[in-house]
Amino acid sequence: MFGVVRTILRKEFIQLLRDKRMILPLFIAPVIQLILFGFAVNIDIKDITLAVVDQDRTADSRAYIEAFVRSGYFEITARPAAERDVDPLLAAGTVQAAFVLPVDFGRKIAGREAADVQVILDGTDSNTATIIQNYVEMVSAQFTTRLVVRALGRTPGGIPSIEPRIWYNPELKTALWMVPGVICMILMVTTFVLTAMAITREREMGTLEQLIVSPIRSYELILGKTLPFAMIGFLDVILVMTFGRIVFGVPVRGSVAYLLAMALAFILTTLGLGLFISTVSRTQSQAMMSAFSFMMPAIMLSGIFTPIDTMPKIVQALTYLNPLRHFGKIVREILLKGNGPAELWPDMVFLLAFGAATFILASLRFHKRLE
Amino acid sequence: MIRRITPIARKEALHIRRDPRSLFLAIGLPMFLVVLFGYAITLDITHVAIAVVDQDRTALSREFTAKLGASAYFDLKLTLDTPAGVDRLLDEGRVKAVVVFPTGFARDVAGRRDASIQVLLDGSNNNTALIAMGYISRLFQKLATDLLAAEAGRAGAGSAGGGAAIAAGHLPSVDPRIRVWYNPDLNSTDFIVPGLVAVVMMVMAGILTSLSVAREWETGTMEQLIAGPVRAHEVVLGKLLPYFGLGLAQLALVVLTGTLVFGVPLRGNLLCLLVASSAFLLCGLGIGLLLSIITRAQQLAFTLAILLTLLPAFLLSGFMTPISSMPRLIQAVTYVIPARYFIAMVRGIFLKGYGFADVWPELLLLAGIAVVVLAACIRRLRLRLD
Repeated sequence: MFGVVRTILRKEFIQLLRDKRMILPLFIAPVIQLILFGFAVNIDIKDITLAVVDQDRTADSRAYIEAFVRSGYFEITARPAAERDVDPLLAAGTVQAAFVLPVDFGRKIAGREAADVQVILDGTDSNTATIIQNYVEMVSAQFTTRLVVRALGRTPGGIPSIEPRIWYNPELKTALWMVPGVICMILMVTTFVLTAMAITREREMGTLEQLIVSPIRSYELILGKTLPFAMIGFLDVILVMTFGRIVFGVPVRGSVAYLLAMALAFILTTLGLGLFISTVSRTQSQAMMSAFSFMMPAIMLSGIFTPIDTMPKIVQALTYLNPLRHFGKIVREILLKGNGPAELWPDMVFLLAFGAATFILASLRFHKRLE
Repeated sequence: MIRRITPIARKEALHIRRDPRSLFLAIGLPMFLVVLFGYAITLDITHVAIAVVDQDRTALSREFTAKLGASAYFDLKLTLDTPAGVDRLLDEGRVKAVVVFPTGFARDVAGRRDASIQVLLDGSNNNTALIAMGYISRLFQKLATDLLAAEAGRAGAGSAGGGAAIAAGHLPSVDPRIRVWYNPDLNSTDFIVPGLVAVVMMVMAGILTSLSVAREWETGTMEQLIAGPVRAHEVVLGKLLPYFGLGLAQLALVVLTGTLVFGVPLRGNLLCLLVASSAFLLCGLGIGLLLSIITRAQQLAFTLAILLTLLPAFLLSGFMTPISSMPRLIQAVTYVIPARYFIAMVRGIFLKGYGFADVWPELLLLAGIAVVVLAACIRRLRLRLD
């Protein structure tokens, strides 16, 4: 048996790597993806462009604006003369927020009243607008505290302050959130899409028939066809983890062996699904469309890119059936939290059961299709 | 020339028609994806699961805890007396943040000493952590101001002389009146759906054509085409046309889904949307076709098409995160990403009511990319055997 499997394995590797350009999607793309993810997706919003209309021009109004600049999050890029000049700036997207300080701003503060400030935000990007809103409220509240302290003539002692401590990812680096995502994505592409296409290709070219008439048994064929992709997938996991560590300092707090074992369980699932798609497709373009139709929802509903807890309850329930959800969680928690089987066993059990079931069922179906 | 393009286009259309499953997926999938993601993905962060560790157990710490519990942003899961077990709560992801009131907190506040509240945050999702942190800071800043106001009220009532000036409620404050334009409820659907249209269409366009020429090389039918009298630009146009029609149909369905299912307002010029979409489709289809022409191998072309369209459309287009907060070097890269221009235009046309007058620079750049890509297709398509 091993002799046969080894022969098919050799043939697969030769076929896959004969086209040297395959190295591009298999090994170079994961690294490029990781770097792009890590650098490009910068969620920390800084340098918010701000237009200020200061109709008051008193020491207080200037101090208020200064408090925003000093917070490090805002940058005044326009000082229009009148309120109506704000509209075109926001419409064109030149500024993300605009402040209008009315003429009575300083007078109201001196008279110990509430001074209103008009704040207009561009809501097109709702996420950024939410963050800006938080900053505006926060800086304003800090400013108010200062005013009150001054008015009462007291020291700032005894005013409750908060002391944040961020666990697992103290610098809030995006790369740490994204690395597990890249690992999942790349395993999906190499082990699932490529398996489905590779087997369908043999059918399309008619070479599958040659394999059928040869004395190879179907499980030997399945092993020989799927092992190369599993090996490449494994290599990619190690590659992405190494690069993540070197370039972004992504920690590996848990056990690497456990992570690789879980990767194996996940690869069983994806290979099984790839095999299944190859049994229902005649041409590579059919295999491609089917694989793609499965891959997109699986990625989007996995919690890899957007959190699951904010999804509607029904969709959240559905995500439990998604092997990617469990694998993504396992990878993330092994890397960032150092969790092991004690915390992760429900996901592990599901992944193993799902992987074994998918692979066995797909192999049986593949076996039947050959006869 | 038209006479030679039509048969190629017809042949390609036959390929599409003969494979009903792929056709069904090609038309149904974009709609399905927009519905699914539009429904499932929300960037609104509310009901952050938190726990409180109240080591102080005073009226003040209980009052603060009650305020946290009453806020719509938080979901107060449990209140503990000691910090033991907090690690596990965060490790298992049962709560995203823990607020700790240390022993002596109320005493320190009353004695005007340094009184701090510890906040532990799960930073593994940095975006959630950042927003949760913002909510918590906001809430405690407000509580601190209220505390000062109450103190001032007491001082005013207690002292007879200077008390009149510092009567309760008479304290200076700045009240930001925040108005959000274009999307007043900060509804992330309005933000995500137009972007989704662009991402889904980019990927679909890219993969649709990625197999077209490579398939002909792999199955040997390219030789027949070469033997005929056609020229490169005729092949390219003939191959593109049917997919262009398919793409426009997909786009129309996706836009309809966005407006009918999600109620995203379409405030701008429809013709402008059509022209922008056509330019964008040509870019996407052209990229797929170019990959197909260069690689001559279906597997390679398809994998590259996914990698070259999916991730850039997702990450470098401003779909999820604003381009302005990316590092300068990456910002420079985004200028060659067609989705960048399309997303800006689609969002503007949908939400801000943009027309040609507002989007012409993006439109020109997008058209420029389309011309370059198609020219490259024609140049690289060698109609001879080597």
